[in-house]
Amino acid sequence: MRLILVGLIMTSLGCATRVGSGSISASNIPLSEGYVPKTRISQRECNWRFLGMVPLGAEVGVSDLQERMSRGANGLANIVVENENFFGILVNAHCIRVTATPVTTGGSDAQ
Amino acid sequence: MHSKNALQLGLLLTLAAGLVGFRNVSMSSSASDTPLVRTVESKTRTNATKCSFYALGWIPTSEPTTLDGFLREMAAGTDGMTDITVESSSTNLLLVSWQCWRIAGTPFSWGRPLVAPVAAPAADGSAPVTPDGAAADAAPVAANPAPPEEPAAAPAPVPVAAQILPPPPPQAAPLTERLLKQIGVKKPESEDAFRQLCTEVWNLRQQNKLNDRDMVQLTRSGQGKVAPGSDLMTILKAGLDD
Repeated sequence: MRLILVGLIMTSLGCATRVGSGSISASNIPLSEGYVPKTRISQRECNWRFLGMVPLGAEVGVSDLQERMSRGANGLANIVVENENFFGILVNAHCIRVTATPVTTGGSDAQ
Repeated sequence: MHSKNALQLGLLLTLAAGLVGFRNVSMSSSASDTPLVRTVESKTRTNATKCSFYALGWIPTSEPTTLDGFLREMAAGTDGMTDITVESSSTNLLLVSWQCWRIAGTPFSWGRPLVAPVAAPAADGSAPVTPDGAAADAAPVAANPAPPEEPAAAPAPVPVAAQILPPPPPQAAPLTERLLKQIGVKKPESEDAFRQLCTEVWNLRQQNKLNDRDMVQLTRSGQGKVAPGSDLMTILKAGLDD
């Protein structure tokens, strides 16, 4: 029994890993001089999966986060996207963090 | 007995796999981290690496480095970076793993505008992006601000503001500093005042088709015609009266 327990713990630890990656972008819309930056914001969302493939909850992508962060502005500038993957024995998580500066273009209304 | 052997073998394999570990590398690139709305003056290309360590694959041993934080650290003191390459490598062993960011980029400072800048003030009071991009950098950066609960109201239409004063060309600042030094006057502490002075000096030079040597000569001759302590523009204009 003790051996099984040790085996399970070792297996869990052996499988628990994380992998990260990231990218940078100047903006998600074409910008010319005169745009107005707002306060820089950051949002993070995680998508969980059971046994690597069964989604637990609605999936949220980078575009969903960007759309949410763009509300009240025309677009985003100085965008940094970070991906983080956690692989456990039973569940996997894929987390996305988007950090950006919402901007409004001069003289036009935000959508 | 067979099951015990199988379990031991499984355990050994897991351990071996964990000790051998694995490494994952990814890469991305970007033209710039800031919208390039004007020409830029590139500085020396730079690169740096920063790693975060995790115990048992997921417990951070110190505050993990975020890509955004690292990028801002690297771009500190400049207006932004161009030609950016981001490499991410994750190495996982049984007990410890680490993830490293490597950023290579060329820092820049703003040069001349690409088009005549026209900006409107924001409805929320934030400043438009100024010719030197200061407003974008000056905006407070919250570490993890709460997401907006509901969409902010769209800013009301505002009248287009007066044209922003474009920055003087790059040569204007050293020239103005040299002329100030010559008459023994300190460079204005306010960046705006200095930029304004540089623009005036440059305009005077352009209007009268003067070169650097002419400007120095003008300062010398003008200095003798005005009261001690007069400002640079007064001296230059007095020099022009000849």
